[in-house]
Amino acid sequence: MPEIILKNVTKKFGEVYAVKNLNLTIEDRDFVTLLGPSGCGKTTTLRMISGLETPTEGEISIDGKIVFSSEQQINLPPDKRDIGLLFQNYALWPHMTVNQNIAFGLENLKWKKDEIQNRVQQMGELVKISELMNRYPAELSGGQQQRVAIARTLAPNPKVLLMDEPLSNLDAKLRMDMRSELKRLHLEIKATFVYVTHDQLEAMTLATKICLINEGVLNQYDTPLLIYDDPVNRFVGDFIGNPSMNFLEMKIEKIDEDSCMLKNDEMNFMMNFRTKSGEFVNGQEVYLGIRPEDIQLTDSDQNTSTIYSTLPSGMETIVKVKLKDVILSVVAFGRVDFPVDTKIGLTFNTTNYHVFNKETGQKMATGDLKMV
Amino acid sequence: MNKILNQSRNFFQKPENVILVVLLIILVYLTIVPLFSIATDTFTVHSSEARRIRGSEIGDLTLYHWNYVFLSRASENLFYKPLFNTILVSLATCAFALIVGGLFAWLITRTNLRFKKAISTLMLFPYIMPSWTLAMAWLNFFKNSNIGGAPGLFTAITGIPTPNWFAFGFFPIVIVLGLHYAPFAYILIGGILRNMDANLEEAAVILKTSRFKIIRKITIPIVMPAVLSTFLLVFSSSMSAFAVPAFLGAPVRFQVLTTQMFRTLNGVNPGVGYIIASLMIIIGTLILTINQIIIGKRKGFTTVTGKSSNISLVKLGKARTIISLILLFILIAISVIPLLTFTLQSFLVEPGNYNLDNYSTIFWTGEGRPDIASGEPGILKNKYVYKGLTNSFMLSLAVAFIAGTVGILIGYAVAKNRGKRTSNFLDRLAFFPYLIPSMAFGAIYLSMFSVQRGIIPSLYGTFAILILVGSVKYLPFASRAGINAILQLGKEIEEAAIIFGVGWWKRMVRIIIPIQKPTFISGYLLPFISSMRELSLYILLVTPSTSILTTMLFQYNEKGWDQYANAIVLLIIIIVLSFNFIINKVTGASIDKGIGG
Amino acid sequence: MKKNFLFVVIFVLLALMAFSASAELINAAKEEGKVVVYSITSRIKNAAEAFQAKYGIEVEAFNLKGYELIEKVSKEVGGGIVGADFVIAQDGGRIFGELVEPGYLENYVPEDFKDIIPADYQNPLRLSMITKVFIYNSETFTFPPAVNVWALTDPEFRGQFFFKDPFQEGVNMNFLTMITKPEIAKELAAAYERYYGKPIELTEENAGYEWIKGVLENGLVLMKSDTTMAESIGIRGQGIDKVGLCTYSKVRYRDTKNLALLPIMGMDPFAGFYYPSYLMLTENAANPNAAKLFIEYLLTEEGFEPWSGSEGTYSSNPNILPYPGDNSFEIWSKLLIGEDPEYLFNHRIDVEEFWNAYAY
Repeated sequence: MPEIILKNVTKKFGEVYAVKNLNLTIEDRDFVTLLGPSGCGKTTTLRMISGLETPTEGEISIDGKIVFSSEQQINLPPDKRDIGLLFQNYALWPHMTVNQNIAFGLENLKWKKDEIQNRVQQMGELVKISELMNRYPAELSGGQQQRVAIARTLAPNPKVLLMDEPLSNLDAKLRMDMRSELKRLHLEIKATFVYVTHDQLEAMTLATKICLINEGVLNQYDTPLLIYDDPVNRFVGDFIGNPSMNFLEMKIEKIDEDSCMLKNDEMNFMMNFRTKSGEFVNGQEVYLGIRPEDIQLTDSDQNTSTIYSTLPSGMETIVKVKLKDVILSVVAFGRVDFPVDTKIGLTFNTTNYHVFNKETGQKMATGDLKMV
Repeated sequence: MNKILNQSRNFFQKPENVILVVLLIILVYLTIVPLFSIATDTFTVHSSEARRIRGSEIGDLTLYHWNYVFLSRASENLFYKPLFNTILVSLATCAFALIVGGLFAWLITRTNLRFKKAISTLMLFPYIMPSWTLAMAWLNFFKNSNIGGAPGLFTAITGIPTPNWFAFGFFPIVIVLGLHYAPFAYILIGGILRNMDANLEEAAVILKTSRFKIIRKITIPIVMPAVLSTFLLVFSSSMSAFAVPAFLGAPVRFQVLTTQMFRTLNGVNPGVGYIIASLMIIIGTLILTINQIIIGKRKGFTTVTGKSSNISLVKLGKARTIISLILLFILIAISVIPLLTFTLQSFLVEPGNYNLDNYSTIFWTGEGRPDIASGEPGILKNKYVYKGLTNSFMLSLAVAFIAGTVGILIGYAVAKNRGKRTSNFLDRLAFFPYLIPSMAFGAIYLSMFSVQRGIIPSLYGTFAILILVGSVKYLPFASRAGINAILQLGKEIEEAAIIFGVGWWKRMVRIIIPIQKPTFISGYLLPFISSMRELSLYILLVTPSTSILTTMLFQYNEKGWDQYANAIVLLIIIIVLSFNFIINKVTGASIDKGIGG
Repeated sequence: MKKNFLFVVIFVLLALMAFSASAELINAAKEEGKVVVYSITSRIKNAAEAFQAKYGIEVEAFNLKGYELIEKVSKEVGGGIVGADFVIAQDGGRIFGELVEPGYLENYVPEDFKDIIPADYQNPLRLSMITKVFIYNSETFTFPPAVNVWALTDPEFRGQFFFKDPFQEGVNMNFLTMITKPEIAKELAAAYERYYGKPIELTEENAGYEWIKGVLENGLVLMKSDTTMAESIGIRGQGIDKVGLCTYSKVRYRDTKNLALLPIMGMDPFAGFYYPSYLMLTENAANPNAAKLFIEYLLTEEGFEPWSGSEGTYSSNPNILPYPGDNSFEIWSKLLIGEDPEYLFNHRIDVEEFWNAYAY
């Protein structure tokens, strides 16, 4: 049964649209990330679901119950929505011990004393902070504070857990560890997670579905791999993936049923379509999107290019090559390196190359590529 | 229609909006409306003026007062000269306070001065002690016999007579006021220097810039907004000073606007007094506006980020100990010596006779001799003094409680609604009373509330009017503290509780207030101390049954009963200092946190 | 024998009744239990203590300055607020217009004193006459340093004359107004001739205004308090050479504060001035009977004791003798300028304006 439904939700600050006409359905027990660049409206969306922010228009329902409706003037306060909210900087109450922090919300929900203590112990064990119960937040490390915050949020057993970039204040290694912890947690407590982040890697690794937002508008809502392989527009293609997709400006020529030519001043390609949508017109301006790992470096004479720079990281090496005055990013796997300014050949071996409409950004086709 | 109702319902569901609206209404009534009352009063014939304005009845409208102040034969002595004196004194005081305060601030934060802790503690004293105590001490020390009577301690000790220009008038007024406000400058400028990112200066050091050039081209421009703010605040404070120019200026007929205001409001021409009061209010508003323009949106909160990096301190070299000692001695002199002179004078029977046989405790514990001061008992046995003491205490406690609590509410409403026009308006409204000179403020309330206004009866002579005027006047301290406190807290701390459905009251009491306790408490402390030592605010409104210590002190002084006056000063200072000390120790709050250092 | 005894008893009882307050009044006063008085003389507190000891009625006595008293009474009574039950007020130039006429103050003459107090002191009822005289330091000078008021305008005397700020205390302004009255101004003009040996050249309306301008432009020192003035002039061992116009009763500090003060009785053409203090009930007195009792008390020798204990204050009750060694009020009244309420009402403003133009 669907858990959270947003219908035509809009939020305006004065004349500026923070969120524009958002339609989103989050299934029960999903782990959905709201992903996008700074200021895209993802935090605002999260806060609107929580009740801390009031939408200008629209309807939100959680677990079948309408919690907000601009038509019917319904606006349930946060505590009546059965949600938990994890803040970016934890917002632990500095004058209370860990124990008191976790217990405070439960006291307010009028639980009995022994029930509260039981639950606090339980939470402590869940996030592994049992020996820190009597400490004050100032005495804890960043990671420990994070876990206390999680314990506090989960204590009243909310059906929905909203998280606002909770890991961004941690150092890199800790962040990796916490990501695994969160994923495990999701399975254990069986709640719906909605997670805001601007880090596309984080979104990719954690989520069951990614909701990619830009300038208040929902761009794509799919599983991570689908978003990765099948971006609906240029923004998505650019945002997801590290290092990011290469874009070449091309013009369409010689259109066929299953193929076309892509030309610019320096190079010509022929593409055989795997999927196709939209109108193809001769002379139309498009972007050709090529993922770095979809370019192979070879010793052959095919498509000779020059090495521009290399960034070896042990497991893989990011190489920038200059092909006829255009610089392309390429990823080579393994413990390899290349001397700069030497010649190297390129091949395009996969079928994951995309064509995007230059004007609208929409994807027009995916297929293989041959340089001619 | 329904939509508007729903919108209002949603609007008022949030506590910060309810508080906003309620406080706006109340404050407008208490701050803006009285301005109209006083403006009307400048055109009205008052009961004591009926004879003066030929052919008029009490209550008539007239231009007489305006004419008299600006265009008559008496105008120069009545208005223009005092105006000139006021401005001159205020400018000079600013300069003095800024230089002294700024110097101390720089020495403490940027050099390896010794005795830093002692010096910074003592530095607050001149501000905690009422400004007129320094004036009285100056007189005790430096008065000469040109006004007759015994010369002061200085002449008694050294035999050198003090010239008139040194003992009275412009010179000592500026010194006393300047010393009184120097701590202000010290706290504000020191605060900026402390929070300033030391990297800014260090980058210049690495580029081999000379120390002086660093100060000139980097430190000073950054500190400039604080300096300007200080300038404006000190300017308006010294403009509204009353007791100091009254004590030190009267013997040589050096008049300023406040002394003229007092003379006329208490005498036969209140219309003139109200005009002067209105003028001072206009000037105060002008200063507020200029301050806003300069500071812009920043408004002067210092968020606690302070990366306390270890900046390299200027080495004072060989002169280090000497300079430190000199400063220490100067501060001790300013803080302690006045107390000694008060003690001394309060035991002297025959004025000017410092021989040991002339000391007596009659002014403290005596029963009262009819041939000295008409049998007034010593202050420790004087029931009127105790009444005054109780009144002072009750008044200041009430004022502190009301101002402090409303300040917290204002802080909440303004901080939560930050950026909206209504919130800005409330913020400015709450700050407005600060810039109205105390005596003018008292005059406003005199005009407004000594007659019946709608359902409110005449409040003249009641304790209520004193509490009212004190609470509104000191609200700025509390509201500043309140706003700072809530902004520093950040909204997530409260939202985390909202998610759990914790109600507003509980959020305030269990979370917000406990966390920001020191800042809130200084919002209570400042009004208390200010009220305990306040004279010019209350003096127009006090009646014999509501006398407070400070007005009694003023009366003793006026009557020439110096010993009693000195004894009471001592009493007031002891109370104020002890209170500050206790609160500081118990809660960690103190005056400098409230001012914004 | 019995008859004689009876007569004696009756006589004594009558006498007692004549000179003591009626029993009803005392009872009514005691029931009220408290009385509040605003007074311009500070010695009210001594009288209050004695009254309290005698009748067991609590007294709250407040010593206010002339202008303060007028201000507070008019605001309190005018606003319906309970404050003083009765007042001892001064300043004939103001209180009639501002307090008596609006009905804020009411006159009360105790029955027993209607025949004792002179008629023209009864409405309003006077408590005393207070004198202000020119004084000098008797240690520095064997003879007064000035015997003509015009000496005080002489540059030789620059900065040596002390005067109470007339805006601090209205009666001083009354004095200044009175010397501009044509009859008195004439005397001043004559005194000028006696001092300088030539007739006065008027640059102002009359000799009175001329004298005022003269002292103001000669470094006149304004003081806020008579006590301070007395001290400032009388301190020994400093060679003080100033002259002041000050409340005569301050010479009582001669012993207690070791001051050397003497009046210049022979000052030409006048030695100073005097003014009455008035006893009146407030219109909204909360304890009117206690107030009446106290008023009556103050008119008796016992009640007036704090004032008759030194020179300078003279009871309106002629049966109370002045301080031993002091002259009677009759004598003083010939040397001093009094108050003429009608002249004051019409001319005080002009003198105030004149003063304002030069003084501040």
